Amino acid sequence: MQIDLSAQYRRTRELEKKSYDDELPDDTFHIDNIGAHSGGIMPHQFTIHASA
Amino acid sequence: MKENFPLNLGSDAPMVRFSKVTKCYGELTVLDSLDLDVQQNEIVSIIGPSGSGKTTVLRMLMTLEEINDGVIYVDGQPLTHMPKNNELIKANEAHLRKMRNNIGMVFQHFNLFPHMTALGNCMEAPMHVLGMSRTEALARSEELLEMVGLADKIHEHPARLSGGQQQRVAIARALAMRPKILLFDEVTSALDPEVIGEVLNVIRSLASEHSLTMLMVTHQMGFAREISDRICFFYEGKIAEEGAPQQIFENPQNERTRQFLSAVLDAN
Amino acid sequence: MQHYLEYLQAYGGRFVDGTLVTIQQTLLAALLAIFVAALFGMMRLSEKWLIRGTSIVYIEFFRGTSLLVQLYWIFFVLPLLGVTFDKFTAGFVAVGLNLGAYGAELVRGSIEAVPKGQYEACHALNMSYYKRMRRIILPQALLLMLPPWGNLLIELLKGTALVSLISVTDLMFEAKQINGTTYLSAESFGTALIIYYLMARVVVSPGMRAFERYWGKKMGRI
Repeated sequence: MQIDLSAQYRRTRELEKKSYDDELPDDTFHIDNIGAHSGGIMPHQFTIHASA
Repeated sequence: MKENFPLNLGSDAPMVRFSKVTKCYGELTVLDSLDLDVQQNEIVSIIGPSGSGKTTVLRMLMTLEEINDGVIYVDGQPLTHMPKNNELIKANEAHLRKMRNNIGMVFQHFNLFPHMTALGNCMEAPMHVLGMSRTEALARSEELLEMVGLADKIHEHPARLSGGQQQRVAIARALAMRPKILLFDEVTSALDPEVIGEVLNVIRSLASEHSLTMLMVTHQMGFAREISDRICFFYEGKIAEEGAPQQIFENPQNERTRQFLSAVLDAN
Repeated sequence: MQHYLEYLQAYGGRFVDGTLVTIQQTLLAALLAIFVAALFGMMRLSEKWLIRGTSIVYIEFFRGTSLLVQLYWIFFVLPLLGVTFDKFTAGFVAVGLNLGAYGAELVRGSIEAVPKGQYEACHALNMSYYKRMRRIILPQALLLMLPPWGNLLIELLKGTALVSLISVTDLMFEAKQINGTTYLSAESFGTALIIYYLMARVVVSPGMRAFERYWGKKMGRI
């Protein structure tokens, strides 16, 4: 099937312009180094001791 | 601060320009003062032995990796830097987000969102990044999924799809953002041999698109030769040789290129 | 047996009252713990050292010192500094803050366990930090952290027994009171033991497992 990709393309550029005009960057709070150890520690490997 | 780098490249700029780009991991220099231009609508394949820095090229362009030196330009504008007081300074997150919309990427391991259906994967970014309405995002995603031959799988989660199907969803998902540049990072390397063809067919169908520049790292030499306008052979962080597919595959000038090609083509 | 039935007839009502207070303490402490865990768990991953540092200090302090001492601090020492809680509030706040610190590590661990490729996909689709976390990372992290949270909530339930020491009239407090007047230690503490066990094994564990199944289905796990 042939779809009109260029229509999508134009529409995207239009939206892009709009979305960046009214959106502030919100990446000031940023997680770093994530996944540097993907497949590393799994949460159930933490031991829990609620000490009294 | 960057001296001797233009603030922008003017109107007849290439779609992508790497200008003296250097990337190091600690002591190891992965890319050494790389210069590379990719023209609009051009399809460039990057080949080379592993560890030659070819995937790093794509990851830097996707801004998944920072560069240590040089400037990358996209569509004439600096990507890794931004102009301030007539100088280029390191790009901030706002600039990166604006520029990143020009670029999409398809990964070796698909990286689909497992908790969303094929349709949900495709609709996610148009709705939540571009702010598109649900109706429009749905229509676009259905079109794209049909284009990649998955009209009957749109409501399936990734876990129920084969590798080839997942990779086709990933291509549709990247296309849904209508990037100007689409990066393919060894997209068939994690696939079983019998489904590689269906993914290559989808990429082939995109090659005739007039608003898409493609940059791919691949081990599929036959495919690279068939589809590319240009082949770049990377060796030890540099482009050892580049040229039209026919020239590279039939008449390589560089000794390294010859060795690499004979090793790879023998193995096939 | 006859004897125990008579005992229950006489004191059952007080055990019920105490159990209700324990349930309230557990629910409120759990809500606080979940909130605190989510907050400090995510702060723990910030690249801003001040935010990350605050979280580390919090987690280290509450995990590194005794819950009972923390409880006494909140109830007896903070009033000297001008912050006064009634005993009921002091009870669940201490338990919630303490277990929340353990929960923060679960939150951090499970966020880190979401494969790197998911972050890269979000990045390539140009999603903002907030969208990426809320729509992609946290739903997957939640699935990973639910089993250990089941354990943590049982610890929390059992931890609430300590609030009896600042005379919150919970299940443990009632058991001690009844024991004090009747000297029937086996019956008093035995009954408390059974009720705690049932709450943990009949309510909390199956409840968490049901939630895990529900969320797993929602996440497309087959």
